[in-house]
Amino acid sequence: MSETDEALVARVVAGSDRRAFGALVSRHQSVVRGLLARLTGGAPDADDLAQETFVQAWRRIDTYRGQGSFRSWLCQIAYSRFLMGLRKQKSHQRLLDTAAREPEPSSVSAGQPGARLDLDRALAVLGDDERDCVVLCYAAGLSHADAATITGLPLGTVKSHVSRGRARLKDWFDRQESAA
Amino acid sequence: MTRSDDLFEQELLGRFEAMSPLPDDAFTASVVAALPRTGWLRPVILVLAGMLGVLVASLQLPELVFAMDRIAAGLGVAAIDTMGAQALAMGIVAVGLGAATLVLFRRGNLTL
Repeated sequence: MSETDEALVARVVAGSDRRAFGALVSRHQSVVRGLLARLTGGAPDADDLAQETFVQAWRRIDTYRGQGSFRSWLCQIAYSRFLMGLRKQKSHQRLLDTAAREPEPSSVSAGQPGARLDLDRALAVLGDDERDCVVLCYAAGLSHADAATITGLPLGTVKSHVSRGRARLKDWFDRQESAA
Repeated sequence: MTRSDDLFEQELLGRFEAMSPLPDDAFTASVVAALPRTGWLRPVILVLAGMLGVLVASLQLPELVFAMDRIAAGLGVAAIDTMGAQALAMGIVAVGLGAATLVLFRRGNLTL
């Protein structure tokens, strides 16, 4: 039976157990890498940001109090890294640039070609806060409350961003299908 | 033709899930290799620095005590005679460690 996140964290805090931290990385890397890939519009350096996120988590792991899920705590660090780095570099422009590129072969599990391109292009039509809230809730599977904590936005604002963002994405995909 | 909201909700979840990167052992290995080794380095440096401090203190303490003795008219000699120079140094170090522990405890870095 696999250990809980809290048990692995306790091992890391108690003895700087790198193997336990490796288990946490294996367990949560898909969420963190997926979150950063969508926030950055599939930028090639999204995995570098994910690595920085985990290294920062290692440094600050004694500040994790277990009050929320470990995944949510990691996503908070990832979102901070994203804001510090890519938002300064006009990430919205990156999204548009990415949408103009052909999708490169990657290790994502998507079977259909162009699916990543479609999703990133669709996300690019959202406002920054809308996109962030949608990505946190759908890519990372976080609750509205967790997304509110991470973004620092009021819960009601997050709910309306997600609702409005989802409606705009639906319109975008409906228009794409109508045009096809 | 447009989809219902429920259908689109499932479709959107499926799109995000399909875009989620697969677990990659190479990524895990690269993260673990990039972890700083401050976990053991910091305590070692602190212990070495502490030992050096005790050594310097015990070498300098008699001179300091005798200097103070001239001011305190024999109190220093009495303290050394009673406790010994090294015991006095260890006492000072213990007070310092106690103060550091108190600060860490108040900051929440130490829990009982």
